[in-house]
Amino acid sequence: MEKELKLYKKSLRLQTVFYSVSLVLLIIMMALSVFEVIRPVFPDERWQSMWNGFLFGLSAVYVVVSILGIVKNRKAQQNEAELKKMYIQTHDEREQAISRRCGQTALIFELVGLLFAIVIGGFFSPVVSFVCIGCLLYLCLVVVSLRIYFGKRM
Amino acid sequence: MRTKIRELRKLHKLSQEELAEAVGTTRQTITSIEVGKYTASLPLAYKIAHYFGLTIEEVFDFSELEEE
Repeated sequence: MEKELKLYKKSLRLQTVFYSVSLVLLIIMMALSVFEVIRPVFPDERWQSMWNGFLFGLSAVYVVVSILGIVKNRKAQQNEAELKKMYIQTHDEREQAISRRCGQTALIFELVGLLFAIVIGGFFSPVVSFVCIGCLLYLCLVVVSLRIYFGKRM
Repeated sequence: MRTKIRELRKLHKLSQEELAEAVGTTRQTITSIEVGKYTASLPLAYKIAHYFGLTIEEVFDFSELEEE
């Protein structure tokens, strides 16, 4: 268990670095957006402002999540009991089995949903249909790549 | 899959939480294994059996598999 905890501590440190770097980048982007140095490309002023607000809100959520993640990770790194508790929670095999099953089911729903969207969208908007085809192809590519990767690893 | 975990826990006066912590899993997982909703992996089954000083076959009931 000690060896696993040591490795987990290392991964938490890496995760904290990732959170911190992305947090700084996002705050810079948000500042640039507030001072209108960068702005979303929209010909319509009203849409531009709306989209800007949406992106700002999304970024703010990520900032809060990152800060919470950093605080949680720091707490676990300094307290062995907390670290063990967090390790057990994240590595619990039943939780992992649930996640795996959720992923498999969600993938089926996504593929079927996209197929429907392609067919139905085709009657109303070819753009929507083409976007859905792109998403479907991307999803299939990811699934095939992951199957090859894990097939070689297991 | 049926198990003797609940009986063994009672015998050793252990709570689900204590057993879960000892074998490195969550209380919910122990509950699910006890009621037969979830089948433990081989490493976890080994850890549980080892914790009680028994073999896997003595803790987990494989009769259903044998019938197949």
